[in-house]
Amino acid sequence: MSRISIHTLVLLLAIPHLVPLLATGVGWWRADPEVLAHLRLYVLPDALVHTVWISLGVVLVTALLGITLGALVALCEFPGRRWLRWALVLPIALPGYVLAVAWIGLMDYTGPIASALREIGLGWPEFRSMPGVVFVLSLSLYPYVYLVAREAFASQGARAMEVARALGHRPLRALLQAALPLARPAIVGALLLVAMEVLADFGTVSAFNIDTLTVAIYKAWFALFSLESALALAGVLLVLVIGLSALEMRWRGRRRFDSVGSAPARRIVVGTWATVVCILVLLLALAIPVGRLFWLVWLSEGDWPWRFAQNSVLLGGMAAASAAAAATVFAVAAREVPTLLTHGAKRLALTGYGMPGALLAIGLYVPVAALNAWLAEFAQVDWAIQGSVLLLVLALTVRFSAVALAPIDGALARIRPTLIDSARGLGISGLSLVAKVHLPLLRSGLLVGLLLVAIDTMKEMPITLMMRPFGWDTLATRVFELTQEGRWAEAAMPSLLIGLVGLLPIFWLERGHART
Amino acid sequence: MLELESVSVAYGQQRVVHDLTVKLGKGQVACMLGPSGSGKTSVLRAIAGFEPIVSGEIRVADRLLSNASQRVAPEDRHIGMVFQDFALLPHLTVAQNIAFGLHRDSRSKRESRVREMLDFVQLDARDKYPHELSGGMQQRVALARALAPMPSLLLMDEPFANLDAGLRERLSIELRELLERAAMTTLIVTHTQNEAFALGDQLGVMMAGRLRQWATPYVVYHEPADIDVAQFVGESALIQGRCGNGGVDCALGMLATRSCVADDVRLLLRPDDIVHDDTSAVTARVLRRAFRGAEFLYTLELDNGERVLSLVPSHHQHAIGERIGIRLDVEHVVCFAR
Repeated sequence: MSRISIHTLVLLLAIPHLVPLLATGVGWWRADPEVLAHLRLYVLPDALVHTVWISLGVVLVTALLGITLGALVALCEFPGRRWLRWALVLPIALPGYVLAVAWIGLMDYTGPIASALREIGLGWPEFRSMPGVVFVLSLSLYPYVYLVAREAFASQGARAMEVARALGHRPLRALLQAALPLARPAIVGALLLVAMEVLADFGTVSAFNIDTLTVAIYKAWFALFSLESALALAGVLLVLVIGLSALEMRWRGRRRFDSVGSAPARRIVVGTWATVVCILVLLLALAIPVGRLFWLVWLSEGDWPWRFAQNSVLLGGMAAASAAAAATVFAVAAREVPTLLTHGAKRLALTGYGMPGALLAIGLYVPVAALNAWLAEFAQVDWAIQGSVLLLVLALTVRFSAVALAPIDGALARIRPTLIDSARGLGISGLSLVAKVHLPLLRSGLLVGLLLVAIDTMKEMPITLMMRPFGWDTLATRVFELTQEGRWAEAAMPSLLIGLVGLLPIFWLERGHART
Repeated sequence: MLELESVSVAYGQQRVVHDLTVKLGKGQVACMLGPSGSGKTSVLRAIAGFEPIVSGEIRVADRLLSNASQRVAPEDRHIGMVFQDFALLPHLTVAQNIAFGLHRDSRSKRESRVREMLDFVQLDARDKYPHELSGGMQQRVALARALAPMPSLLLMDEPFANLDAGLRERLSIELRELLERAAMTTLIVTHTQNEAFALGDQLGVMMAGRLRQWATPYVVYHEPADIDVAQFVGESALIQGRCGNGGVDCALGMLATRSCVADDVRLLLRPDDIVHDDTSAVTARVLRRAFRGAEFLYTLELDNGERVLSLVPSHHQHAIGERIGIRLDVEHVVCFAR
């Protein structure tokens, strides 16, 4: 394969990644001033305030949870530590909206707790509020911080603790003065990631019926049918996302806290209170919501949502194949033909995961619709790609090729350059080189990539919701529709399926990791 | 000062230190020498309070620190520790690192102590960060940090393992001087004997969790307690000998000694015990030759097939296979029962 054809292929694949960014940026300038004025007066204040407060709240709570749990598991010894170490990661598999379905039903005005309290004449605060959202989102996002904090503390925190204690500091002070400062860059990075996830969240806040930027985009599009306002709101979201990414990059660049040594150190023995704290978090984030969903499913008489599950699996498979293929091209091209274009394309593919789904959906839909209209008018081509599964898969590819890129890139790194050179020396090149050398060696990375994208797609809500063909529902969009109508009991079934699909591989990965 | 009395350390069911008994006087510097996995670092960590002990007692300045049932927390022991990788806190400057253990002192006292310690280790880099320092400078900061709170005992884990080979010798002399000036009771763990010889007043040899010998470096080298110690410390060869008539008879002739332990013995010969002498009637064939600059270390094969080592000034260059004359020049006859 020639350099030119590789470049053309990479460019073609990179364009869909660029389009939403450009469209949201341009849409901002081209918007009708009246529409913008309306947004500024009636939509943005609430949406922005909600988005910012929820983000701050979740960052604060996940920091507290993640650091505490990470420090306990990495630095302390207590009953159950070994299984809690991996079990505490499991909630990462449950999307916020699944937790929301379970918790809202429990805590709502008509739920069992509020009802019981009313019986004895006590009031109950409204759960569908900002603190409620922060509660649910924090429980589903704390594992990001926990994982990073745990690794940071385990790799060098333990030694830093020993240094501080040998110099006369009590354990808690040693943690705050020595171990935590060392872990800070990693933890701040994870917290910025959490903030990005909160900005992108659509399912949870919509279940709570709180208007954030993503919900505002959806409403502008599907309630007001104003693509213009939706695009403009996406522009605001884009500014926030770019700001956060810039912060994240700054932090990464500054990281210099890399060595205090990491000889094995003995954990500090603490009491069973640590077990209680960890189990409490697991109860709130995993056992109670999953148990509640099972309970609701047990009680309900409705049919299992097979049709939606089928669509979910189908969509997951298509998106996985497409994203993994794109990721393979980006990864192999950047490695074998390292030019500005191929490297730029790979970096661009990585940004896809940082783009909130709502932003990506509107940013891709508007230009494609415009292209379609143009084609219909000037070339009499009457072929609508918008509203087809094809565009939906394309959007999911843009969002998730970064997910496939990580394991594929990792597998690729294991293919030594000398191996490629020796194959070339034997006269194998171009596509047959890829087929005979790269693909077999990439297989494990490719499989992991496919699996991750398929699962992420099944959990994904906003893109699927906004771009799916009319009436073509998946489990995730079904959850959305049912929660909008307040049918929590019915929403339990598809939610449970999504939760289980997400849980199984994480359970398997973490257990496997813990064993080795 | 430091007293360990039949101390044992275990990880789970596995004992890594058995019945260790050691006494170290005030101001003395002792080295614990042993191959990796011999349990020497576990001893250090037990003294520092990071590892519990399963039997025995650890006392410092007559204060009981550890026994099988209880242990004083590391932060309450007043024991300084220099870690193998120095473990400087990378987010703190040199001065802040040194001040890290002075949190109980007033601000002004802390400041003056930091200045004192920087002077002491002759370091002029108070506002630098650890990653900006060379390995040798980092070691001095680590030492200053450990000494700043005036601990009653200093522990050092492999102080030179993270330094270039070229630096080690110079720094070990420097470290020895610093420790002497501070009059610091110190226990150093190392697996290289040159460091142990250069640093320690006392030398302990640990193998497989047991202390095999505790003596001055001179005694350990010349009068090793057993074959393992003899072979671990310094280079040596063992040949067969027969005791009788107030001496030991071997392939290289008769050696007068009163230290015969049995009839049939194995005789320890250091490379400096065998001298190259062209006039000697006894000859041996050169098997291997290692150039050491000032000397050659020859591996020689005797007529009966036994092998010995000989250190010969490097102007005596002999080819492999050549036969050269040798004779014994043994000051300390060491033999072990077979």
